[in-house]
Amino acid sequence: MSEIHESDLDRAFAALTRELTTRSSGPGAPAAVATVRKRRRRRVGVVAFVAAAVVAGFAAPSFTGGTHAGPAGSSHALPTSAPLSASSLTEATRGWTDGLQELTEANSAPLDDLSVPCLDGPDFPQTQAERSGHRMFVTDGGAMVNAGFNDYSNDPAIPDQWTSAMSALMARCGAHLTESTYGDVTLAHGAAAGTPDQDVIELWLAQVGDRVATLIVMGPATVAPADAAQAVTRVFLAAVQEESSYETTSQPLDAPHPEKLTETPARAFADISLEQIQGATGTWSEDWTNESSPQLTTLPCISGSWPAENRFDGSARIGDRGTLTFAVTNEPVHAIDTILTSLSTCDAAQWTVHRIDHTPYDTGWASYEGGSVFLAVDDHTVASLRVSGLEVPNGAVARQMIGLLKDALAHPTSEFGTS
Amino acid sequence: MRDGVEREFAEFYDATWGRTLACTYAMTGDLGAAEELAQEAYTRAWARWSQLTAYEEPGAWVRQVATRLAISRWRRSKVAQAWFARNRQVPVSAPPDETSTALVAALRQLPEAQRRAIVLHHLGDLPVAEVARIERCPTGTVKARLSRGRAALSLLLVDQDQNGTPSHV
Repeated sequence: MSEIHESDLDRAFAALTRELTTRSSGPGAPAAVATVRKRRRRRVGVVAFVAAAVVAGFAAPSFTGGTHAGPAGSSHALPTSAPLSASSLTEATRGWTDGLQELTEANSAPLDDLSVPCLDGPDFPQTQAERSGHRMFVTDGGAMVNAGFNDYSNDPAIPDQWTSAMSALMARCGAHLTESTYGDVTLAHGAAAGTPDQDVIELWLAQVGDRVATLIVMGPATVAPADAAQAVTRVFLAAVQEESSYETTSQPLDAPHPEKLTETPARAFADISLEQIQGATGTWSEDWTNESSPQLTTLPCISGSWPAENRFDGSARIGDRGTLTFAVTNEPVHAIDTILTSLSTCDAAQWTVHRIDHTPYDTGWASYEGGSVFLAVDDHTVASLRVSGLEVPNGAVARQMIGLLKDALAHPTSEFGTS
Repeated sequence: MRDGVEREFAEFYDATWGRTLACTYAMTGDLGAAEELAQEAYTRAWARWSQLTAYEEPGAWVRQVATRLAISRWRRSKVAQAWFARNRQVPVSAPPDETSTALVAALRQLPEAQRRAIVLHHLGDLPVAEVARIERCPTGTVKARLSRGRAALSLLLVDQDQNGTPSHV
């Protein structure tokens, strides 16, 4: 059987290309640029979220992915405590990355090139750290260092969960963590080499007592050479022991600017009580019970669906099936759409989404066989109520639930009783 | 400054869009899906544009990414189809797009592995070794698929000519 000649095939493909060019000019370069900007905002927001652990309101974790090896060998000596700084990181990463500067709006442009899609939609522990600090640094070449220091004296179980969650996250990125000990600090370290779709990502994670800290480097040309890795380890461990690390926070990119926060002060909202839900929804909520468990309601794909710029202000447990959250958002116009659109493409559950009305509050709800989420947003706050385990509500029940959220948003003072 | 870079990217996009789309179209046979995949490749290109401009042929990088995305989509589709088959649901794959050209129609008649090899190598500009890496098979296997694929294409396109269907060759 004779083959088609390669030059003929090339001509055929050239003709196909010409034909398609006349058929479609594509969405265009501006659309690609806009998509990258949108993803960058999400990504940086997600990374900020990872490091700062401002997580109240995000989906509960599935701590399944631990890939870290056991502690290796004997304990090493800890360096003297010292705060993390651009200069100390620059010195530690010399020969590996460009000089590092604290991230600001002015030097953020190189982050346009950063691509770490494996960080999208992480599932992390829900508990707000008792104290936390968060620092972000960037190089001219577009590499980024993101460090978070969290003190979970309020919930000592969380650091172990963090380690498991970070191990799972790094495995998703293509890296495995190996552990070593420095004094009483357990250090995990791992790196994923770059691919055409993803930049290099390298993680240091330290756990000591009730504290857990992460340092993530994204976007350098290569993973850290051994000497740089060791130097970063020492700078990081020095910062882990520094008390001020747990109280010092950079202004995260794309988070609400200080002036915006001044314009839109966080409002206090009262919890919606179980009795109110029962009163509003009748038989649908009969199965609820009073439960003071601090666990948050777990629903698939919720974590990746929140606008990353959200700053969650708190949450409340309602009965044994529901969680109420309020979150400040920079983009109220798009917040509900963003969440519902994301849920509609969720692979883990077959969500059905509903948009109810658009004025004066943007509202909506989504449900699948295992749970529902009801949403309402006003000018800068998203209220959500997640419910697990109950049957899919009908439209009337959904409207009642959303009505409670709208009332809560409209009356930030304590007109409601607490659960 | 930024505007200038974006203009440069837009020019690159306009100049290379057709060939990238041809790659994804040849892989999928579905123009809508092909456009989505090609656009995603350009999105990833813009995310690292400063690095790509140093490349001799940034268009080749985009085509590689686009074809990899198409393969990934195909693999996911296979998994989905297997799941649906197990659950006795209707097939999820769309029928061939009516706008398929004769060449794409011929490509779609090739065995999947041969079609991917042809598109990756001839349209995606990937060397045989790279195609082998992506396909997770020896280079000899890729060479054999290319040879068989070209032979089959030759027959298919001749048949189309004889049946009055315009061929691109």
